Amino acid sequence: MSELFPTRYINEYKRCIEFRALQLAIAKRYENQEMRCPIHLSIGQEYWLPLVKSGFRLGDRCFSSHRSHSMYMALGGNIERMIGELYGSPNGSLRGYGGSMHLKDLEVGLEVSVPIVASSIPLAIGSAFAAMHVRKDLLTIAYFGDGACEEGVFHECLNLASLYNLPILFICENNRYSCNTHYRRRQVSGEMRRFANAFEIESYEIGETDNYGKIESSISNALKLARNKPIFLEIKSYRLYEHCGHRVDKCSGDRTNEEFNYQSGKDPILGMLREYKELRVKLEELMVHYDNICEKHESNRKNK
Amino acid sequence: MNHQETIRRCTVDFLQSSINNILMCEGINDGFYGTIEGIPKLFSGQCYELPCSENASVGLALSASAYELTTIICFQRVEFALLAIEQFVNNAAKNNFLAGGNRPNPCLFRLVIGRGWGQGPSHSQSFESMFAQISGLNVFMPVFPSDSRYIYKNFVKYSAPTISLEHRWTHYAQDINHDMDAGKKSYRVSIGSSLTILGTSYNVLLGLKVVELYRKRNIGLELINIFNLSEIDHELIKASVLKTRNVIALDLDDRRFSVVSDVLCKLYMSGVELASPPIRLANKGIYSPSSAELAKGYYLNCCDLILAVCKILGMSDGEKDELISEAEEIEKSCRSDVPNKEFSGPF
Repeated sequence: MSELFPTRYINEYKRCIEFRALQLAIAKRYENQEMRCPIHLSIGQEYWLPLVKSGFRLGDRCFSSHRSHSMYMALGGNIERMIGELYGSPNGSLRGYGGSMHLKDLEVGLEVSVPIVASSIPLAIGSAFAAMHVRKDLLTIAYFGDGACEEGVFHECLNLASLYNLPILFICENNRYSCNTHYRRRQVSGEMRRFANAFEIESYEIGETDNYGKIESSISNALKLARNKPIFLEIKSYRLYEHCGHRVDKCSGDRTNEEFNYQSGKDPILGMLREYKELRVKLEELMVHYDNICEKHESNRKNK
Repeated sequence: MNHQETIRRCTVDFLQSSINNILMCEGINDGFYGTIEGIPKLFSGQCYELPCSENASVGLALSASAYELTTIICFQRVEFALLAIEQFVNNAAKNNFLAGGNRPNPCLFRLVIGRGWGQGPSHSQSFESMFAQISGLNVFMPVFPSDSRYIYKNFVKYSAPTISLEHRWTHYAQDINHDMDAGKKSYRVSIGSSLTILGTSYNVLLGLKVVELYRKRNIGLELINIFNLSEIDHELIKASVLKTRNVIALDLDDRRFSVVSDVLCKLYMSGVELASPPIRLANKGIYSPSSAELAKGYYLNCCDLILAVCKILGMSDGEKDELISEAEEIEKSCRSDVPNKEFSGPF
């Protein structure tokens, strides 16, 4: 049995593989220049996503950043409609009005994705504030990256959440880079939890090399606690593809080949694939499946 | 009931009508110029103090209003709202647009414009054209109590947020005798056939004083309160100018791309022929100085408007001097940096 990936989480690994397959299919098709919107893939960052949905109930609300594919997939948003949105289709999740950076699926609780860094966090605060005022058992998630922690409004929001004891989970995905700039050149520390401490908000942290059982218990605990008070969850991850685009990102900006090689070796999805043969088969099948959906959109366009 | 008392009454009615209607303010117990005096005690469960976090507070209100709540936020001066311009621009009306109309978020932001009493360069700007440029927002500049009654009655029905740019000196205004409660965009404050004066906010009250001076000489000036910047009634304005063939347009700040520049542009494009070139007036200079003496030269006053009216109507120097002298007499009734004798500052 694997130390990092115990068998009891096989269903979660399968979801991870779905997310990876979908993103790889998008990356492959993006080259064709038919998805005419900026995309921010989360390849390399998927390992924790399947664990969100179990603690997220119908009626809960999530507010995302520009890297919105993550929460869309995590909450079980309609994938065909998501692909449609990337192609600007009227059948897309936003009828072609939003593209990748504004993804939402109101049916599953993805309320908002805003491409302006940290801009969606106050909206999440509003959602949690409404829940508090009407005394509704409703969780709000604010999902953002380490770059957002450099914005003033982020600190305003932590203060408000703590002051009013809002039922909100701040998920800060620290992938170390803001575009191509490493946090070392943007902040004095790579630990985003320090901001939660400053506002007396309880915080947790998970990383891509943690045992999956620990990852699962941290996330499920955070989701549970955040129904009654603000909780801050820092997720350490590494983006393997470009900040914006479809190519593998080996050495943009502050990255070096050495760093990329080291980090890609630690890719949790790769670890899952190594451990479980059935996942390797599933990945191939799903990539074909998603590619076929893309193909349909591209053929429709050509026929117009 | 004056404008200030009316706003307070409307706020009470708003909070009384639903437990999910809430009021938020920095310094909520300080009364906000009397407009919410005592309200936090009456509705303690619906009134929230805000930290000095304008951007987060605006985002909070925009979003909470898309769910169960309807919110009013008050900022002591419009300049504080500039700290939240990011949320106004990026999220105010955009989310509902992206959600296909499924996330309407009616809410009200009361942003106060200052004048006089040392408000200086940081507390006397208005930025109405900037807010009016944000797509989807409803932007109003109330002058009379009925204007605020209209705003309070309607903002809860809108699918997008509303901004009320409330000039501090209009808080003392009373309704005047005309049908001011009709459904309105822009509307006529006085009827006349010699010249049309277009204005917003406190300038409408200045205009009204000048209208009265000319009325005594049987010269009818038509004064239009533009009021609703998001739905300016260009047809009403055009009809007025077709009748008078003369127009003076008043802005608060002397900014480029202003509200009245847009109105004058639309008039020009509509093919209206004027008897004389239009005149645009505004406060003079880029920023208000703080000292009362220096500020006298900055703020637009009745005499500035009289000079412009006389010029367009081709009045004699004698008539002009007489009018100026009467206006100065009126303005002497209190010092230039206060709206009335009772006002004792500081804001």
